[in-house]
Amino acid sequence: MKTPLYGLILGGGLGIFDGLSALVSAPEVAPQIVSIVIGSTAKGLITGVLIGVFARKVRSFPLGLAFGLAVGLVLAYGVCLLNTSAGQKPYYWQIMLPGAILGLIVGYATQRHETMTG
Amino acid sequence: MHTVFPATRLSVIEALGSADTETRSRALGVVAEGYWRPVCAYIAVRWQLDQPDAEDLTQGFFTRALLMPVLERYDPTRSRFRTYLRLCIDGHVRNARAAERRAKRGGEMTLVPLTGREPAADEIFEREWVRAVLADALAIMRVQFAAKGREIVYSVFLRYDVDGAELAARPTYAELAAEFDLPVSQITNYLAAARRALRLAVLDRLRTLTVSDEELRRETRALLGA
Amino acid sequence: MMRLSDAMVEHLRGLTDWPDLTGTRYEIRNIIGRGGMGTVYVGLDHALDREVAIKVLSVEDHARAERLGREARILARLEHPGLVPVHDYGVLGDGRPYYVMKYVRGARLDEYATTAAESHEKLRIFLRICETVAFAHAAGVIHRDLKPENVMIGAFGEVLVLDWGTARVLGDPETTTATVEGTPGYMAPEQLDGHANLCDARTDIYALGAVLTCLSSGEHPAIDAIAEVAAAEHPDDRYQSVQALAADVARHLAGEPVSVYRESFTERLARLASKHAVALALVGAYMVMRVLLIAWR
Repeated sequence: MKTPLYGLILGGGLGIFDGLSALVSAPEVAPQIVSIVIGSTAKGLITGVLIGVFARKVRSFPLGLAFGLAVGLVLAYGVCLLNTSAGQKPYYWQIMLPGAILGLIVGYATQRHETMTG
Repeated sequence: MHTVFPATRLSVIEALGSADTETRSRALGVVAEGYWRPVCAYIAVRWQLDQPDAEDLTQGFFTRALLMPVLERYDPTRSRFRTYLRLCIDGHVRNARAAERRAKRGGEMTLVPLTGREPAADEIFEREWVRAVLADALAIMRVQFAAKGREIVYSVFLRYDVDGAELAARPTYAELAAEFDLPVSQITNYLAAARRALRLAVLDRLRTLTVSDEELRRETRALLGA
Repeated sequence: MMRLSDAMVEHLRGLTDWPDLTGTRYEIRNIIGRGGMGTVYVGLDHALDREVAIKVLSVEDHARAERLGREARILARLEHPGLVPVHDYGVLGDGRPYYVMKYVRGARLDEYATTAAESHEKLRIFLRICETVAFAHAAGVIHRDLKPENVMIGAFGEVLVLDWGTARVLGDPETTTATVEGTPGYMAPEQLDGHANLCDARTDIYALGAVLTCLSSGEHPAIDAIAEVAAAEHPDDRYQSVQALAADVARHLAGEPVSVYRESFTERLARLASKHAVALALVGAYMVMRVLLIAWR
């Protein structure tokens, strides 16, 4: 499996999981959980493919982790801005922190995948 | 072409065990000549004796070896010849001193304990053995070069590598060339030839004092300090 | 009889052994070390103006002279990054053979093993030794005297297997001697018994097991198990090829289970955790973050 595809699948999967976890960390958003999960999954897919492409081009664990962190933070921040523009609470901590860690996870996993299969 | 490897000849050590008396005596003479100085130096240090007493005991040891089967009992599978020789020497000196005490009817003679600051007696024995082998090799070389009418080679070697070792500054090849009225290239050739002869003479000497190739290798390494 | 002073004795001792390379393009500079068969010197190749190592037979006899020549020919024939290249071979004026090889600066493996180098680094070096030995085996040459003292770690990290003086060429009766050759502690039982005709690649595998023990003994039970199998008493119980031995060591380095060690459940968990430590740490961080967010709410 090529690394960008691997990143896509992993990012999407983690996005679904991360979206669903909002039911635990912010139960008040339960009525919007479907859109949250869709949005989180979309964010995860984009994060995954970007980081996967980066891993294909740059084989370096430190840089892969840094790129994953950056992409996770930026896209998560984008979601917060969307929330704000929609008149909702931005949930900076609840969105950006998990987004950053998931970016790190995808960054590490794609670098490892590229090392083993590249 | 000179003989590269010394020809195999009957080892003196093997000859010590010969059934023929004359062969045995000749072999003992060679051993005595080769080991007299190391044995004397060893006795002097090990037993803390002055030179005349050490010489007397050394002479006594080799005289006894001529009359009784002492060195003939050497077994090369059990130890080196020099190790066996040292054991025989220690036994001889102990017996000689015991006999002396008996003769003096109870007179006490105490062994002066070594303080530990003196070079170990074994080291003295090894050093004197090396000295004796090298001196024998030089004597062999002198005879060989004289037989070929090439005393000049030996003289150049003696001047540079033997006497020169004592000097703070060894003479240069140019100085030697002037001293012997030879071209410098001849000096280097003579020295190279003499050094090759030295090695062959040393190995030749060691070969007469060892019983096997393995012992020869061991003794050569011991002599070269390997 | 001339009485020689101590200074004379020392000088003459040195002269007796010093190789005379007059007439060759080489000049001896200093002694590097003495081995069972020869003395190795560092010298200068005047033709190419470079330092070289020169191995000279210490004590001549025909058998050893032939062996030195054989060693030179074996090394010259085997070209591999783990083998020191031979540049030249000759015979001194006094009849002693010598050969000239690349001068390698570095540390012997026995010295390196006492340093604080990481275990995985030592195992990587061991794998490089295995590569070189496997190459020689493929060419039909067995070393027969593998030990840490005969491995050099060069200044650029290269790993070189030295001293092929006791090597045996399979099928060559000249190199199949009845004499016991090798180093106690690293000699396989068939070597110690003097059964030269029974020595094959597995003889070297025994020695490699002993080398592995020297490098990494006690650091991990899997490595100890690999070393134990490699150094089994009977050749049939050892790894049957250096490649098989190296493959198990490589598996251990990759965090995989090895073929000769049965892990307990906890050991398996520990290995998997170690192999995926970073991933587990990231997932753990995510879980902790989620818990903190819930608690903070």
